[in-house]
Amino acid sequence: MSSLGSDAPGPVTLEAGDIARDADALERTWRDQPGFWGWLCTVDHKSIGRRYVVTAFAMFLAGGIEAALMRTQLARPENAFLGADRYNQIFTTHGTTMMFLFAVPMMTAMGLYFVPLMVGARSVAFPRLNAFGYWTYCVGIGLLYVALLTNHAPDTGWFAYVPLSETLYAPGHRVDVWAQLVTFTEIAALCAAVNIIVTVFKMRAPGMSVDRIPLFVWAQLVVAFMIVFAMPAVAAGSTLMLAADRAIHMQWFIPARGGDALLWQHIFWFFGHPEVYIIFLPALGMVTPIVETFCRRPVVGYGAIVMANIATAFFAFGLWVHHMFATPLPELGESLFTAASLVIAIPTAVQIFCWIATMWTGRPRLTVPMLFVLGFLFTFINGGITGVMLASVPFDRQAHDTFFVVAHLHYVLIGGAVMPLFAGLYFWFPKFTGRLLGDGLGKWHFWLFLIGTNVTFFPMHILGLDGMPRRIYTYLASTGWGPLNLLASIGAATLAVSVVLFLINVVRSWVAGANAGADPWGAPGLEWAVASPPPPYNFVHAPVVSSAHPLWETSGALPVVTGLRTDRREILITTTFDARPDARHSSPHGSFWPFYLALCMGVVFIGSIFRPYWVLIGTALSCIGLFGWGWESSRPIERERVAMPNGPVVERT
Amino acid sequence: MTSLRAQATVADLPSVTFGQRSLMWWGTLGFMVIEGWTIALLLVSYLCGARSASWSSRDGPSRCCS
Repeated sequence: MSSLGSDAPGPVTLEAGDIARDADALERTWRDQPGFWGWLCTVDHKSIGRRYVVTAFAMFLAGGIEAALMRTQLARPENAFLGADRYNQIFTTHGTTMMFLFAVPMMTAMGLYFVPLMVGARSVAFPRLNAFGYWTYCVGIGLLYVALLTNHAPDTGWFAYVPLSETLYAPGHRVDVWAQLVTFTEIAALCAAVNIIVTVFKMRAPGMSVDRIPLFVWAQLVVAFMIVFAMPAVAAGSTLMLAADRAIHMQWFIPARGGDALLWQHIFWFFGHPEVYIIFLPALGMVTPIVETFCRRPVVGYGAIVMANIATAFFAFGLWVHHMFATPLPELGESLFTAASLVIAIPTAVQIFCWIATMWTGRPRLTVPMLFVLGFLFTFINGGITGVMLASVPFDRQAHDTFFVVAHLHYVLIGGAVMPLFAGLYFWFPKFTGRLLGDGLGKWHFWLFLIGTNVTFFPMHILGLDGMPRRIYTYLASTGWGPLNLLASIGAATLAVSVVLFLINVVRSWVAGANAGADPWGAPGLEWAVASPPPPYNFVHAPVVSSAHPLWETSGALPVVTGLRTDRREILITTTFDARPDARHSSPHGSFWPFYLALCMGVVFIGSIFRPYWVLIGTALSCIGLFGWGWESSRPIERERVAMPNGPVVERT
Repeated sequence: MTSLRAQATVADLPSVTFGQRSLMWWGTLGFMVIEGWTIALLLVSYLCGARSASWSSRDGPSRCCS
């Protein structure tokens, strides 16, 4: 066997006994400590990713229950099921939950679980940062739901427009809860983004040059960059400006004191519109491997899809003002943002045509994931078309803040994100659990979900065009909106039934589903080269990649590189563009400090709602955590001085 | 178990690297970009937005976009 860079001798097929011995050693090195302490301190990206997925799905259910409450209230005119105040809290919590606590975390969770597996790595770049992000996200959930249960939930909508959300119109702490909840989500998303970027840049399998990166990973990479540039806007807006206006009487958004209320809309939507694509691009990334696998051919237009992802991310930052067409803007600005809003349809259409071409020239099998992909195409294209309508200023002025917009955004987000997500869950459930989801219940789930989505949201277009404003807790019978609202509520009940069927399917399959094996679908990605569920170390040896579809284009044994140590957690670092092996780094063991530091973040930000001195207390407590974290980090480096160029030769430990 | 074919060994690669060959360098760069961008947004907000006294439609376009 050759050392890298030398020519001879040639490849060697590894003995099964040697592989098993290495796997045993790696299992001992990489597994978590047993018991509750091990569970709390784990930094395994799969444990964190699985937890993230389950927690984010629980948030989807919570948001769904809130939606069901709203649809019950609106099912008939002058209904007294929910009062105005409770309704305001519930629609705000619904929007906040779905955007901040379900959609973004779910998409990053799928990335944190699958990106290392797809690029052939043993872990993420920063495992403890990953755990910290997850626990921070959990603190945010706790804040919002304790507030909801104690009648202190935010009630000014998920985008908390000023001046409504300033202390003059929103006294108490409800808006503060919203502003600080957003902080926790930002921190979690930013941690995930940096992790994904560095993992993709520096930890790809040897040979996985940029033109061989799986398209799901490309989507995750592009979205991670979007998070890096979008989330700071809402961090600045909510944590530093809105919260400061409310807590220490600054005047960012208070016109009477020289502030600018529209500034909030600019800064929020500079984050908020890219947020839609942050949710939606990873979902598109899930569609590609599903279409490839079930059409039995590589996707048409790999390069075009990569460029479409990048173009979408670029344009996504240039059209936030289309949320503000009902505000006084210069006409030139309106025209520019109309044009940008129309242009962004082009890269999305490129992706859609690539999938259609793949299906056209392949041999599609209508499995449940594939059905959800078809449902996504149908529903999302409808939502996209109403998006193009709303890009027109005169139309937008008519439809602004009506149910038409509610219909549009739900078609886009359910069609464009939730349906591909369900496709992805059916596709990758075997990898998570080792078992296949039931096909029969899956088809029931799909059809009820598709019908429920359309029955719920299509009537809202008509209601909106008829002038029904969003965010009203009731309406008069004389408006004539009752029958369509009742229809929408029946659709919502259908959606609820479909999600219950999915849950039954998950529980039943998890307990007694058919065994999946490593690669039940005959899929091409590296994640299918490992057992289901994957072992703690992912790969016994780092795979070597020579195409974008390694399992389809490798005949016989999987090529690997050996030489990573099995007696300590070691990961392979490769070069950024062409993925040549460059170094071996250590990877940390489980740690209590991420959990501790997340709690300290809670003390800082939740405490700041009530008294400023909590910021100081939380910061002081954080210092202990940072010290502990750094102390842990310093130990492996000390041991590894052995390999430093020109460094002293020290016995390895 | 999948059969594996060893093509090379990485045992002789260094286990400590610096600069852009190190994960920590990239992570630090990421957080520098995030924090720098946050400050840039605050500055832009202060300089072009938050000093406007007019915002309602009666008063003409907001200074944020004019």
